[in-house]
Amino acid sequence: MTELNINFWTIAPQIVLTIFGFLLMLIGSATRSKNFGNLHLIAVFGFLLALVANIYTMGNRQLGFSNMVMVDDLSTYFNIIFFISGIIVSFVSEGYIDGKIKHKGEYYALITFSVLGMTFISSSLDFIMLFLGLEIMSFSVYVLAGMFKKDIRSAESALKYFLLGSFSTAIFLLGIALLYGAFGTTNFAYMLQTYTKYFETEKSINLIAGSSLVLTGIIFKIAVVPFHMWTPDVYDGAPTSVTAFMATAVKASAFLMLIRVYLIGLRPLVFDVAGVIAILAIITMTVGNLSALPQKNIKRMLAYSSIAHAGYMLVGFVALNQISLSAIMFYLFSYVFMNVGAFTICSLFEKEGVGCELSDLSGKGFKHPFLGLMTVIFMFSMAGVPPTAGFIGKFYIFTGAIQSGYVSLAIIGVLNSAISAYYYLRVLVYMFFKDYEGGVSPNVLYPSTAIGLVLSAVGVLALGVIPGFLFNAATQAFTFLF
Amino acid sequence: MEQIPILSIVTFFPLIGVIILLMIDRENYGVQKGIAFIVTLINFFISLYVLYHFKEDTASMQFVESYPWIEKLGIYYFVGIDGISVLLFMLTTFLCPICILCSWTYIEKHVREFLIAMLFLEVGMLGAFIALDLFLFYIFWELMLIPMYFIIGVWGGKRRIYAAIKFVLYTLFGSVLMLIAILVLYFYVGSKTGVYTFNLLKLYETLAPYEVQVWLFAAFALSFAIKVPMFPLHTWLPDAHVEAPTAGSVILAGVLLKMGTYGFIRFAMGLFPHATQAATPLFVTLSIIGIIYGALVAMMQPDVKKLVAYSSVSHLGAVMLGLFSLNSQGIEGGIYQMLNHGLSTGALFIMIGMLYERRHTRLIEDFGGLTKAVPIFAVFFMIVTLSSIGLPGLNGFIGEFLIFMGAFKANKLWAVFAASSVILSAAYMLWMFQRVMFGPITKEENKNIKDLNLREISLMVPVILLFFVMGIFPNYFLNKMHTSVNSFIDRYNKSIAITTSQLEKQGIIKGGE
Repeated sequence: MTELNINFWTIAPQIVLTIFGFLLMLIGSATRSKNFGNLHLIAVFGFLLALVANIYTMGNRQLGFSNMVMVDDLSTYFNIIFFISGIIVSFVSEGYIDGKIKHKGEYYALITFSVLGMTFISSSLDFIMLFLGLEIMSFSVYVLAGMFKKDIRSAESALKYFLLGSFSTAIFLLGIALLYGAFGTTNFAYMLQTYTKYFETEKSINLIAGSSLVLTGIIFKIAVVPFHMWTPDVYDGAPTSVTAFMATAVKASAFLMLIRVYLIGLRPLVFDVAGVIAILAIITMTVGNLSALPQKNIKRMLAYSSIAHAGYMLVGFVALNQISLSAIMFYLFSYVFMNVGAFTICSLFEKEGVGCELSDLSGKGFKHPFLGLMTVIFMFSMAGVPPTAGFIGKFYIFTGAIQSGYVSLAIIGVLNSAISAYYYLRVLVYMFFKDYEGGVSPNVLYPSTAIGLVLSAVGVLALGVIPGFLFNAATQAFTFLF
Repeated sequence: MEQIPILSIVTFFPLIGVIILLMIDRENYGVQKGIAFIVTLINFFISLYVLYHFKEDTASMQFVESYPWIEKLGIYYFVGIDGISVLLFMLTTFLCPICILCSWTYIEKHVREFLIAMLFLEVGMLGAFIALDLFLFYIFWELMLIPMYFIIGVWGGKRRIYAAIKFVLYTLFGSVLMLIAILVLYFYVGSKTGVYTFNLLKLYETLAPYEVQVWLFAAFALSFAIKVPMFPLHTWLPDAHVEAPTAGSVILAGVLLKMGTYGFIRFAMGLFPHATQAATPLFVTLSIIGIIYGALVAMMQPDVKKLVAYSSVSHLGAVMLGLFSLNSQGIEGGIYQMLNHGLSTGALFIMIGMLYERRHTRLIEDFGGLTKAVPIFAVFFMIVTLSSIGLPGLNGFIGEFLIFMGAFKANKLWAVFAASSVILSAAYMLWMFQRVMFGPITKEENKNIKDLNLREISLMVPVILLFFVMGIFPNYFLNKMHTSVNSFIDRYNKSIAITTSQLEKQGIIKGGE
């Protein structure tokens, strides 16, 4: 049990990211006075190298570091989501933070470290490992949220996120402690092995309490109703590029935690958990959508809509079959593309200190055709209209739900997605249907931002037209369960 | 046997136009319109190949193409055409160049974007008519929404935003439930036969028990009934029609509404015969209410375009009645009437659009005595009006006659109610015509309206010619659908002969061939 099989290959991507994180910090501080403008490219390069390392470790399941770390298809595929999110966010950040943040090196280093934390989550086979990853990720994001030091809303966002986040982490930690008390170990594999030995006949109170507290900690990060209160304020106040990162990569990692904990470590409990989540999913979708309906501020609308999207993905978790779980992964992939794209559009039309109101978009679609086209693609994808990735993601999720017999859940889901069409399409109403009224013109479109947007749009359309390959890969990642 | 993938070529050919348009200078409106027109016209000529090589003596799908798309779930790019869809397919390719021609001067802003939307719309419509895989059909079905949303919302009238959103939300709510029904059917049939497939022809072979059929039919029917639109789900239609630009109205009336009736016959009725049988009284009642209600409301409209919009509700009610007569006359009449309605109502919208361009009003009271000012227009308008009423010798008559015959065979009472539409439609159309065209010219502005120019005449002539051809030689068209319609009826009768109790006992029964 205590065999120390250090296996550095299992953390190859993490090593790359650590090196690049420090590198970015050093270069950032060394070049601060010269206003060196290519830090985002270094970050992108780092993510690409990590991606290569990640692909290199793909294939067989490997254990390392006293079975604390496990690399399998699930972790490597989720790592790809994190890296792609990191790459696109780095691309679109440069134009947005230029001139607003002096310490760009720190910004990119924090993004890199945050992704580092996520990769640790993805390959953890132990609660301690998982917790370390969670903390590395969370702390980086807390700081990122307050990166606009002079903007009072950014500071508010960071403080709020930090306080509530640490609170939820404390709950999470208490849950781990109780589970340790129940099992005598924090390792998922041993937990699974010893479950029948301890709890064959009766579930102990430690187990139930611990598992519930851990679940609470996780769904706080996913922003499931009723633990969603922080989301609108934090998402709204944080720098938009950071919000895009939070809504995609951080959310993906939270879903990964859910899958790791309840499909490996506490697998015997998963059906109990799924029953709870089924109700939460319905509430989350509905509350998210209904709150998004009246929003006039696009960033806030997207924040609420991200709650709703989490609700759809939870439906995939409830159904618990190969299609639905793979669908979560597919959805998260497509969500990275469409959501980062949407937030980027929002950031381009943002005014200092006010954010982006719907009315700021009046008639801008025809005035700025490139941005208009991008908005069309992202909004239709968010609304789930073919031929976009957003549609295919929802299709897979509901296919999975129906396969497991959750027809009513699927019906509530699709009705919600029809409601959501209203507020997504309203963005297009303002952009294309209203007349151009002058007003603020969009911020300068940096080439890197354009690259990021095009990457996202291509991702959305490619996954919408040829989804098969990614879906096959995703199902392969879950073969260990079925 | 190797053959050219003609259906895919026709369906995706408009995308070539999109690519060319994207490369042209933004301001060069003339060239842009020319290219879009030529592309759609060429597409029409290519599609004639389908009509020419279409075999009338077989009910099976023709020009079939099948490629795996998402193999894991049994989704195929599977297309084909039969007697039910071939004429609707042709109608679409026929109307598209006309639509582009009729918006030549009507669309003044963002011309390139308008043309791109039209071309995308054509892809969506053609795709929906040829798709034989439920998933593929759903993709095309939804795909039509996006361009139509923009066409109404950007180039529409004053209340365009309201109309566009109403149109999209109505359609979306219906179609998402259909998606669920598709999935339930997919898993149901898959679990019984072991073959998970979205292939429509395979799904035809398996009948679900009655309780399952009813729910699935309800979901499909809701989605299609919104699109048709059947009373009482029709309220989006007048808004969408009135606010849409001419070309949008023409496509909406000509093709999009047919998508609903086509969906009924191809999917809802084909897949769920027992539920269809059970729902027939309800749908016939709604159709008849639609026929009479639409006509009465149309009569009272002050706005010509709204009048025609409500007349669509009435006409589509007749089509639905024909389909739900479930005999060969009724269904053939229904399909024929789909074509007729597409052409005559489309033509009416075009002519109203021409009037609107000249006078910037559509209110009946603003006109009067136009025959003196615009004689050529008056002649065309007369023919179109008569075709819409269903005058013998013109296309409308054949369709209505067949529908009444079918309805009469099914239930005499239905025919009695349905036949009232003849009188009512004559009443509202002719009364409108009288108030707009005859009498003294009361308004000063009406005296100097320009008559039709060469472009407008040349776009009307093919439509008018087709009125006569379809009115005088209906057999050319009816022959194309005979075999398919008969096989549809055969399959339907065979299916409902399997009693409900048998369905329940075995859970599933291999029907069909």
